[in-house]
This record gives sequence, C-alpha cells and structure tokens, in this order.
Amino acid sequence: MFNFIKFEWQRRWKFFLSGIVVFILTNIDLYSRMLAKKPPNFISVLLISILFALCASLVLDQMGRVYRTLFTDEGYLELTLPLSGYKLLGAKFLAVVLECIAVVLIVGMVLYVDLLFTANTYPEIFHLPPLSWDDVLILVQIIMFILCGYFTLLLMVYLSFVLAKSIFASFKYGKLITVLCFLLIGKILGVITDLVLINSNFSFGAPGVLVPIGDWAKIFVIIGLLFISTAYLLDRKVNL
Amino acid sequence: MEVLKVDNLKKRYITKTVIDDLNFSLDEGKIYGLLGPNGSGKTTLIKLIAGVTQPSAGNILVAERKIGPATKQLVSYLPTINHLPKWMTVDKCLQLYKNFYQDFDAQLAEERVDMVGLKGNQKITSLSTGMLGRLKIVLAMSRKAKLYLLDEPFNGLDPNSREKVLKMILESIREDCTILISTHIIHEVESILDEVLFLNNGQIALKGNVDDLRFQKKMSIEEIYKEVYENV
Repeated sequence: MFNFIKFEWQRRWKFFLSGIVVFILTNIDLYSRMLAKKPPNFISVLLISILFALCASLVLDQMGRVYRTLFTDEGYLELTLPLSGYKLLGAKFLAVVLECIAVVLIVGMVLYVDLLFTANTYPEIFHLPPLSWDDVLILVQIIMFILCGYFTLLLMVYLSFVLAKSIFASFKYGKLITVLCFLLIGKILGVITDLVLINSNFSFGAPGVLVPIGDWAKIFVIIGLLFISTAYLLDRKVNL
Repeated sequence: MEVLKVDNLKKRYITKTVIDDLNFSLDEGKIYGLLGPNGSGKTTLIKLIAGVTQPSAGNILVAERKIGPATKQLVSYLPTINHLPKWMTVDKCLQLYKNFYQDFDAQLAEERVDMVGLKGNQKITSLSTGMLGRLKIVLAMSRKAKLYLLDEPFNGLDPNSREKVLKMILESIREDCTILISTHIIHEVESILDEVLFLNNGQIALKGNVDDLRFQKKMSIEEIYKEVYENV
C-alpha cells in the first residue's frame, strides 16, 4: 500500500514543488506590495493566475485518480497489482489526505511567518493576538470540517466512477452514468445529512468546541461508508 | 497439477454473451495457445483470469485459489494495450514491478532490457509500438510467475522483435509454470505450443495436444485454424 503511495507521488513531485514555489513567490510579491502600499502589477496577476490554475489542477487530479484506474489503460496495470480494492483505494485516498494536510501546513506556516514578520516590523500598528488553547482547537476544527467536506466530495466522485464501471458497466455512456450516479449519491447523502446531522448550528458558545463529538462521529461514519462501498465495488465488481 | 481451472464460466453483457459456459483446465509446465478470430472471447477470457473483469457466472481458480490479490501475485499478465504509465521511464517500470511483485527478477529484467535494445532512461512516451511491446514482454516474462497470460504478445512487432520475444518466452519456461498465449500469428508460435484451445463465440470449438491434432488431421495448426473458422 505504501509502495503505491510512493508510486503516486513519484509522478507528482515536480507538480507539488512548482506549486510550493509559486505560492511562496506570490506571497512574497503580494506581501511586499502591501508593505510598500503598491498595487498589484502584471507579475502579481500572473502569479495568482498560475497559483489558481495549479490549485484547480490539483483538485481535478485528486478527483481523477480513480478515473485513471477505471477509464484509462493504466487500470490494467493498477488492477493487476497484488493489492485488494481496499488497499488500492486506501493508498489513493491516504495519498490525497496527506497532500491536503501538507497544503494546509505549508499555507499555515507561510501565513504565520507573514504575521510574525508584520508584528516584528510594525510593532506599533500590529500585534499578534494571544492564541489560547481553545482558539487553536476551534481553528483545527474549522480546518478539519472543511477537509472532511472535501474528502466526502472526493469519495462521492470515486464511488460514482466505480459504480459506472461495475454495476452499470454493461451500459454505454459510462461517463454520463458517472454524472447521474454522482447526482444520485449527492441526493441520498443530502437526505441522510438532513436526517442524521441535524445539529448543523455551530456551537461557538462552548469553549474549544465548534462541532460536537457526536457530529464528528456521524461525519466519519459517512466517510467510512463511502470508502467501504467504493472499495468493495473496486475489489469485487469492476469490469474494465 | 492444474494451474488454472475454469468452471461454467459465463460473461454476459446486455445484448451479448461473450463467454458462454466455458469449462477447461490448464496443467503445469505446458504452453497453451488460445486461438480464435476477432470477437471470439480470447481477450475477455484472459481479462477474467487476470482479474480485471468479473464473470457473470461460474468460477475461476488459479492454483486452487479464487481470483484476488493472492492470485495476482501468481499471474503475470501482458495486455494488448499499453498499460504502462506514460510519465515513467524504463527504469521506473522495472522499479515498479520490483516493488510490487516478489517474484520479479530485476537483474534478469535489466539484462533483457539491454538485450532488446532499450535504455533505462527512455521515457514510455518516447518508445515506438515495437519498443513498447518488447518492454511489456520483458516485464511480464521477468517474473517467476505460476501462470503467464500473454494477450497478443506479437502485436505491432517486426520479425526481428518477434524472434527476440519468442526467445524470451522460451527462456522463461520452467517446469512449474504455465503459459497461455493468445495470438493470431499462429505460424510464429506453432513450434513452441504444447496444447491449443480454439475459441469460438465464447465456447471451446476444439482443444487438444498440438502433436496429436497435427497427426490426426494431417495438417498444421494454422491449417486446422482455417478449417475450424472457415465459416466465421
């Protein structure tokens, strides 16, 4: 499984490196312009556009990882490796999770360095607000909530691809079926969320708690169910 | 000993039955030819054994195990299409096989890469159809697998490359392995086959020992092929 993650990253390390470099350059450019009170120029716009394109490519690439297995010839290699569907999907999903955590950490670190630098350069106009343990917990929960939403979306996309190449493999227009499956899964998840995750009002009142533990458990159960059903179909029912 | 056992195998699509109640087994230490015209079900059968397609009914056992990760460790599959990722180099492909298959002989593969005129730093996208065919066969035959599934291994290869591929197949034969070759180019492989299976409309039209068939019908396998499929 870890061999597969290594294999997934071997093809992308240049992409990630370029993304980090463009992000740092964009940050330096915008930050220095902000300090010098200069408006963004052509270079700034170009860097932001490249960064935006890289982010969009990363999202599309992460969504397309199961597509590549099922709808391109590479699937004949991946599905004949001695890995179960669970390990194959697990490796792909874990790679995506680690990538997202890495993105959050890099962005967080760069922004924190910006804040530190501003606080040191202009102590008279800007102070770093003191962060309490509760504030950190709230921040972590906000990030986790966004990431969990993204992972749920990814697994919905993966399940749609796998459904199109397993249960509906005999039908033509597999890609159209993928879209229909995605809409259907979205609808079903919407109903489940309405029924189960009723407590969507964030409880800002309680110290350090944004989303109650019970709701976290429900979110993880939904992610788990999506993962298990996708992996089961990938393991037992796929028809290339 | 039976390496492969296929029982009442069926593969149906909505309007078409591709494999229809197929029963056969393959013994250890033999080279089998899977012959048949286009659409006879050869590739589907190989895909079913490799585990990339699921049967509609019936069973497939490889070394008495159902198709799954354990059998994929025993089966070396060479598909007709290019299954190698385009971003990879030849060396990266060898590395990938070494990482995933315990039976992959990396040193032998490197020697064979040189033998077929490839270089480790060549990218997959830069390889011609013939070069790619040679690389695929190097990767598949450098495993010490129990069962080799070679789907049209001579597709797109020039006569010299075919000779090298044939030599590699012969060098890879061991007493404890079985090779199943699906091909249209019968005269190239006729000399190395022990048994043949003629497939037609997803069923076995004829099966037997190559020498016995030649003796009984007083014809070469290619002539028998023409006779079996003359109305197809």
